[in-house]
Amino acid sequence: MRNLYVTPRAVLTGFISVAVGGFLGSLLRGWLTRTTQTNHSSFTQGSFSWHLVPWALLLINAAGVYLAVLLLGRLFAHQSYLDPTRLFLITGFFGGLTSYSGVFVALYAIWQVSHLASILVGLGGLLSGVLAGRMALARTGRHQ
Amino acid sequence: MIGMAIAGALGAMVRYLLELIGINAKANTSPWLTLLANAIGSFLVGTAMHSLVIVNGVVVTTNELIGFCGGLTTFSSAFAVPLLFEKRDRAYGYFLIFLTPALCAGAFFLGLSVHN
Repeated sequence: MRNLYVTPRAVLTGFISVAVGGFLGSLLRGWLTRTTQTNHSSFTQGSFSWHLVPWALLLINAAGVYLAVLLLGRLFAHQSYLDPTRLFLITGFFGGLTSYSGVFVALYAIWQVSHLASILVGLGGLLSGVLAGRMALARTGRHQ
Repeated sequence: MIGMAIAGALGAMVRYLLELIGINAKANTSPWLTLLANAIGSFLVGTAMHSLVIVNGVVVTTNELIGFCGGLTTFSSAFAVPLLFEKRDRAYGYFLIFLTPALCAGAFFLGLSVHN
């Protein structure tokens, strides 16, 4: 079957869309998390502190899931993965804005002082993602 | 911060290339490749937990590597794409959502153990 959608031009346009979106998303994440970012001083021994919880990143991640569900469920409901706007926003911007690895860096810093707190914060992050996604799902009209 | 954003853009581009592997005739890809990008990013960030990483003689600071991994991994797509599966695939979607952190945590600890 002749492939009508995946052309070299679409792949290249997508590559640029992802690069620009990823740059802007990463920049915004860096700026929003600048005061709460896990750094080398987070790895010093001590007792659990609420300052170790990556609040900004957890909030960004939950908001990212919410907006991505709304966009994918409504605006991009009939667009393919290679749609340049979809690649710019979903794969690039929200992909760069949200982070899975950043959560593990913060969880590891908490793990040094309390294994239980690390597991609870991790489960909290997972739950907030599911809840945010389900709240957005209810607004897409796709299914309840 | 610009350096981390450039690293993040590179990470997102690598994730895009990974997801392209699964592209089908209708120009859609597989959420398993997003999971793979998340697992690779988690592994790499695990290796960065021990100060500096040297790749081919070039010292990559942890900030740049963390920026790269931040772009390579994604939280939004890992949840949003499986949540939007059709009704009959809902259980499969939740399976993917809960499998991702388990595999990524494993990859992170594997990355940590590289230096030990």
